[in-house]
Amino acid sequence: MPETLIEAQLRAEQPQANPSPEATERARAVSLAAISNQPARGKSRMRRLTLPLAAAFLILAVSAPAIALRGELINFNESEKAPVAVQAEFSELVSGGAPPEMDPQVVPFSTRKVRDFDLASGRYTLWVAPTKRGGFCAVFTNATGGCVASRAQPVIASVLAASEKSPWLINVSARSRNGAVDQINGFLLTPYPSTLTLEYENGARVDVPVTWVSDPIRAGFFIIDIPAANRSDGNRPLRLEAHDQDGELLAQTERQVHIPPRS
Amino acid sequence: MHATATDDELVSAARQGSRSAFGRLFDKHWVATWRAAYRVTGRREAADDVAQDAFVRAFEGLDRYDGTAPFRSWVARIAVNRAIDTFRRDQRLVFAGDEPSPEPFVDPEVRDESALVTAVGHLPTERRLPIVLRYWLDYSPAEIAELLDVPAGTVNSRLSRALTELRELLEVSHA
Repeated sequence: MPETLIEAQLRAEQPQANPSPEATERARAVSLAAISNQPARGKSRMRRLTLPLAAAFLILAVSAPAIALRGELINFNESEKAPVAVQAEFSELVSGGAPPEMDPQVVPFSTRKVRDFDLASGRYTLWVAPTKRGGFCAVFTNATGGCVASRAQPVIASVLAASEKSPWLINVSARSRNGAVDQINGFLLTPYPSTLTLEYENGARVDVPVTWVSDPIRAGFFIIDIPAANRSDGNRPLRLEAHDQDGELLAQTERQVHIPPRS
Repeated sequence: MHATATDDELVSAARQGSRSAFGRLFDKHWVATWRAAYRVTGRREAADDVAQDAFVRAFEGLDRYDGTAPFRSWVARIAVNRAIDTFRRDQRLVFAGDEPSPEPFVDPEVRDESALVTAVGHLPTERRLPIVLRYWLDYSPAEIAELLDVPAGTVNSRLSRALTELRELLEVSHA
């Protein structure tokens, strides 16, 4: 078969897949929620500015003094400096895809190792680097990572549905295999030392250990394996909730956490 | 007005804060953007995340859209960039011992995918991406070089080698 024929055939034959209605609905909700968090277009400037400014105030005013006082906390500035190879990973982590203006401006030479997490599925090292605008980028080796470019307008605010309470305060990545979530990791921007709870479809609730990192990061990080018993319909992870010391719900999310059963 | 509005009119209305204009832009271009993401990633879940992220970024960055390219192409380009970025990240962060990834384009919801599409899914990522970008997303070799951050000559050689591999794969499957 001549290659010119293959070229013509390639143009004619393309994958037939289409997005699912669920993915479409979720993406629409999330995309429209993102514009609600935008600063400043047109007439409703004041109303739109309220959300990010409130978030910034909450994080700056509440978490910083609390972190200084108590609880399980890693002092970022005393943590082990990342080797050059890891710094190089951070320097390239976000430069390839997004337009330059969306670069979170990570400071790769300030990357530090927060700690190792030894789970049943293996060892995961958490590396964190600050950004120039007061945020951070974090990566679990062998897992995933993410960035918050700045505290005044967190990047993660844009990727969560409007219906979720205080959605900018929890960021979750989930690993799924064979249609089931088997690992969850992420970070909290809630005030230290708030607690994180994972609720399963069957109503069971477990505490998720959180490792807090001091200034300039000011965030809590978590990674857990999902037990095999919680990977079947009716028992899967449903949502994550963050509560303050008085039990007040600060944030909750089902995004990434919950995979509905296949019908 | 939105039912018949052009993309330029919708973008203009969206910039004025019209939520329905944002919604209409999403409805008009979601499927094409998702398909672009799927063609690059080869996996439904990844395409869901990448396409969604592309719309979030497009809507957040709408003030930076200059109208030189159609909105549809602009948001698809963001999705393609994000998808390629995902490959770069995964290649750096996933180490030996992890479960191998399934072949791309093996979609249980799509029966009877053509032999050629299946063969593309069997190509190594290094050569599959140029093929997808060139023939399924219609980017020029120069644009592909920019997207993949490799010299144009490398793109051409990878395309040539991939076409040869596809021909061999198809000849084997037809034998």
